[in-house]
Amino acid sequence: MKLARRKKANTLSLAIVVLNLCIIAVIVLICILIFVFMTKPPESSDIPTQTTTAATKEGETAQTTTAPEVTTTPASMTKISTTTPVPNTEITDKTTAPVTEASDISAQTDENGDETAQAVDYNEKFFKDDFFIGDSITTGLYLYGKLDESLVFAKTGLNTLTAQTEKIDGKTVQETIADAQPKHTYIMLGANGMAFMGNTYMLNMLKDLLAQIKEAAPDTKIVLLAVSPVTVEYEAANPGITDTIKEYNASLRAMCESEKYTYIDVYNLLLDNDGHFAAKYAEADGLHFKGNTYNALLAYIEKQIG
Amino acid sequence: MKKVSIIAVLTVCAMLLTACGGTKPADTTANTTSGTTSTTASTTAGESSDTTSADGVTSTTPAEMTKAIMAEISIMAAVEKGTEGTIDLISGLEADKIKSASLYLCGAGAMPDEVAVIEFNSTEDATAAVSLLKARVDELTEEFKNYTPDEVYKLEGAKTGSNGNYAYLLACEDNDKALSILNGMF
Repeated sequence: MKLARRKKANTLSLAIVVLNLCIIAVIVLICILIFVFMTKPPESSDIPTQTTTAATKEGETAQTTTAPEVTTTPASMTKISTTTPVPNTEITDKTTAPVTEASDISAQTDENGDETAQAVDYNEKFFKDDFFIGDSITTGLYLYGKLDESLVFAKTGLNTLTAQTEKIDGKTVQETIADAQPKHTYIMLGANGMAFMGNTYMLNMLKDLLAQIKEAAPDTKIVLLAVSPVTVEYEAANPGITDTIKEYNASLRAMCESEKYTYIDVYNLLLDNDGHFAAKYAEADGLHFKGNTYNALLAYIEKQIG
Repeated sequence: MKKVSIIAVLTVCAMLLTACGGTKPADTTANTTSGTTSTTASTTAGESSDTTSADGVTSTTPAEMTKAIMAEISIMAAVEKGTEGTIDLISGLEADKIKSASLYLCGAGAMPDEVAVIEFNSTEDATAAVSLLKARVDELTEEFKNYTPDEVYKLEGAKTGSNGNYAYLLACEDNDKALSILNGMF
């Protein structure tokens, strides 16, 4: 009897021990799971701040002599869809699939609570032999680290007249392009001067600028980017500016068709459903670009030209 | 055996409680802040001021200094440039004389604001660089005076100077405040 009782007690003790071990195992598992979810994935340098590390100039400049084509590529309207707030990841995740349509770019909320476009992928090396000319908007290409500064000739306030004579780092655009001999020369000018120069004069000055560029780099393919839109607030403060931009872009497109230049419709790329500069693309001033807007721009250009 | 298992359970429970207190990794990456455009002109006016002192002793890095300033100052679409980016942007800076640098500016190209701190290898180099920083202010003034004249007050009241091995350029919405924050780190 005593033996039976003793056996029973031992069995019970054993059961308790086993149960305790199971509890310990479960708790250890929970600890491991908590540790895994509490640990953030390593952050790459979020902000493309190192202009000299943003782009690499590799290989030699590739020269092509194919005849330039006129292509007009109206962008599809973008739809704004609000996703759950995510940290602003301006450095694109290179594993993200390239965006093929402007409408694929959704909006997200950055760390400051502002609406911004998803940072889409673009191939930086695609532009390594190219050159960009523009105004303050174009300076964002290197200020945000999207392209190397050596690929950009841009200055605040530049217009189609002043671009012919202004110097950056001691050189005019003609001198800079003569040295670079770019494969493509992208020009986005017009936001400045529109209010006081008149579309006809601006276009005539643009033609003079293009003539200088072709003289300096005869094999470069000229690509003209439409002037970008403005927000409804900017329009309210500057009545009529949207119509002026549209008229200029229409004239620009017509000139491209007659002169056999490539035209890229940046204007429609950046519109919202109401026909204004989309909030996910527009900076607070209603005119300039947010960081991720340059990703969308470059991805779109790459798609059109590539 | 029972006692051992009970003690083991209690130990693991204690470990569980400590595991819940995770710490955020130190943020060593640059900040991007998006502020609103300043539309009211400051009453601060006058020439940019140069100050030089030789007692600038600190273990704080330029990146930490500019970050501290940016915690109190707003720049629209602020982007930080590291050492290489700062050297690229400010003409005349020589890389072999610079230990490290940090510069905040408006990434969208829309505003003239710049907050820069550069640590040089010597006090002499820092002092000599002040003229380059002043030239940078003049360059920005020329660029923005007809573009956004309402914002030029930031450049007119800009602070440029050196403190020991450090040289600085402060052109923002409140240059006095920025300088006070910077001086507080020496």
